[in-house]
Amino acid sequence: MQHKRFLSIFSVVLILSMVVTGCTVPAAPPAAQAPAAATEAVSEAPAEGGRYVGFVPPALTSPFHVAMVDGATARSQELGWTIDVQAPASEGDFQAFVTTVQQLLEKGVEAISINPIGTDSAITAVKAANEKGIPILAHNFITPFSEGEVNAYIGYDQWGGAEKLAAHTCELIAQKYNSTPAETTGKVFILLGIDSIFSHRRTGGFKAGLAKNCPNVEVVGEQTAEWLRTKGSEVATIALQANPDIDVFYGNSDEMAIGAALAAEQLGLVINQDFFAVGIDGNQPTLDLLKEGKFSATLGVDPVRMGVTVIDTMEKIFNGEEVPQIILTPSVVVTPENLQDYLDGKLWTEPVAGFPELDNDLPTVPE
Amino acid sequence: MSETTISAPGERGETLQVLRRALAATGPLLVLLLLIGILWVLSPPFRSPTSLMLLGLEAAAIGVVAAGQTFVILTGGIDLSVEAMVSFAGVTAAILIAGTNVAGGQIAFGISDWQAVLIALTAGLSIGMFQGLIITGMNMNPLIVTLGFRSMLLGVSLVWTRGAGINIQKGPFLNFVTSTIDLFGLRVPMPFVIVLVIYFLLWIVLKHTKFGRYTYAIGGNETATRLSGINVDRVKVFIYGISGLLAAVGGILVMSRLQSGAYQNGTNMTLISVAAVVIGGTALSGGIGGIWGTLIGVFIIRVVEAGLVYMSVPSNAKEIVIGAIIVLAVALDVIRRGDVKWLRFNRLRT
Repeated sequence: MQHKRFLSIFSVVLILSMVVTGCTVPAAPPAAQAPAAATEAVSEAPAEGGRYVGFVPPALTSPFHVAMVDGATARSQELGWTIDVQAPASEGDFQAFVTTVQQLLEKGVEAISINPIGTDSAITAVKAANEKGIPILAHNFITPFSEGEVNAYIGYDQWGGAEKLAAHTCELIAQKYNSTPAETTGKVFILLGIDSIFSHRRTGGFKAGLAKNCPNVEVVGEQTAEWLRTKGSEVATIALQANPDIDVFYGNSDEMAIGAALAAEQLGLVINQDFFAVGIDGNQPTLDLLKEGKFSATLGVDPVRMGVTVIDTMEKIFNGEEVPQIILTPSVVVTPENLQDYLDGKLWTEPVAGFPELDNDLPTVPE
Repeated sequence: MSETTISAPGERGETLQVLRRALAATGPLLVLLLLIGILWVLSPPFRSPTSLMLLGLEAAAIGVVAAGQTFVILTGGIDLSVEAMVSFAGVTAAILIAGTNVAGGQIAFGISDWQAVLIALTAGLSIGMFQGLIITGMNMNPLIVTLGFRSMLLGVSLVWTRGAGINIQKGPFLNFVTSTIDLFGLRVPMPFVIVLVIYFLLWIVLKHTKFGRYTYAIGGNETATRLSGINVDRVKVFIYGISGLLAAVGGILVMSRLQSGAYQNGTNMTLISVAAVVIGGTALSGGIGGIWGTLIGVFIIRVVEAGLVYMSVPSNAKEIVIGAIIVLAVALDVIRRGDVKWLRFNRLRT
């Protein structure tokens, strides 16, 4: 009996402590271990000369955020900095997000960049950085917090990007029917992400682009597919039963459009011939499909270089340079034709000062 | 705290019995202290008062939610709707305070924060009791009922907010709720004080009232309890009501901390609350356990999570660790009940 009790408690202690310490040894970067070397002083910047900065994605559950981390990490290594990347286990855990930011501040980061999914839920984190006088940046979105001071927002214009993608979509439809964008008719089905500013902007911009470039093309339906490939496939299957002659599936994210493309192909339709699939994100899986001719076009926003831009901006702030409040990174429609140029970074243009993006059904950049 | 039902034949004396009991009661606490000790030694930033404050803050909302979950699990049930209730209560209160359900809209027509909170809590209590009524009245499985309500509550929160967080300006009441008390240089967060008060009250209810005894009795043997003339259904309705109410309190704590009512506010809370309850020594089959263990369970999970950040462990390892903790917790539950054959065999041999 008591043997059992001992065993159970002992095993838990053992395993828990193994989990905590065991994971750490190979994981922590050498420089980050310096403060852990039991000195009494509360740790501050580790490496001499190099900066110690924090980077907080909403979670590392999508290739997009992993790519951004890769860019930021590579750039900070070039500069001889130490970057501490921490994220909640899941994107929706807003409380853990705020806590993670505060914990990094406590660890003594000299600057931090954050990307909360529920923008305003992170106000507490912004305020905590403000109180400590630590520069705080926001990446992958350009919608200002309603409170708190952020040094710079670094991201792309979702509305404008979606509009560009729509213009390209119009051309695809026109080619299919041997017509011109202005004249062609066609049917578009939109796969929405979970109701949010992201889905609103990407849908609004796309519709505006359609109306401007191919006014006779009709949106025959829009349904949420919750950002997921599987849902995209389900929704598209049903949509194709109602409208077998849908010309384009547009996904607020690539993943949903990929799902739709797979569903359509299962029904015997041929992509880039019978129908097109376009989406936003430009993650590696999409680019691979694009290469194989299994996808039509994506809006590439180059998350790797966006991550680099974050570190570059931090450096400017450390050097006392002025940085714009909104730093707009480029987005470009990636097709099989310009895919290689995109991968090589030839389509990347220098970030420029931009306008804030609001959930107001109006273009980000005033017309 | 935990109490074993099986006693081995030929136990070695009274002192060992007492020692065993003491260990059973303090096991999770020892684990917690050990974890804190490890982190304390390895990570200097963890020692700062702010880090400790964050730990208390991070444990607060889930602590309240897990307290409700403890009651439900003690009766042999489970409440999968708690995370949705956290979101729903936060969204409800935020919309009432902001006076709009349009994110970024003008904050003009709201009612005062204490009224909004009261309404949200009442809603939590009522919806919880309603679930209890369905479970008992229609003799439905709590797993299914609460899962269905989870979906409905999340759906309502999503529809009301259009997926955005509703931002609020804190009034005097919520400012009080989110304040900190200066205690010898330690900034004790008010949500943590609230948690302690709630746990104390629940402990009294559980140990010193008829209602508490019925709770254990139902979990131990529902049929026997029913046969002894106790209105089991009524107790259960209140149990789910308590869980709904406490989840709503958790929702208010999260919302006031983030100053935002969003449908994601309760993410992961169901899983973590169940894990905390089990780690704290309450049996998933009901009837055995207690309230304070749950609080310790919550802290064990939060300390491990904080440890991962302070030790700069790659973030994706978090899922592995949390999963491992949950499996371990359930394993611990099974071992405690003596359901593992080879362990029992082992015991007889020694």
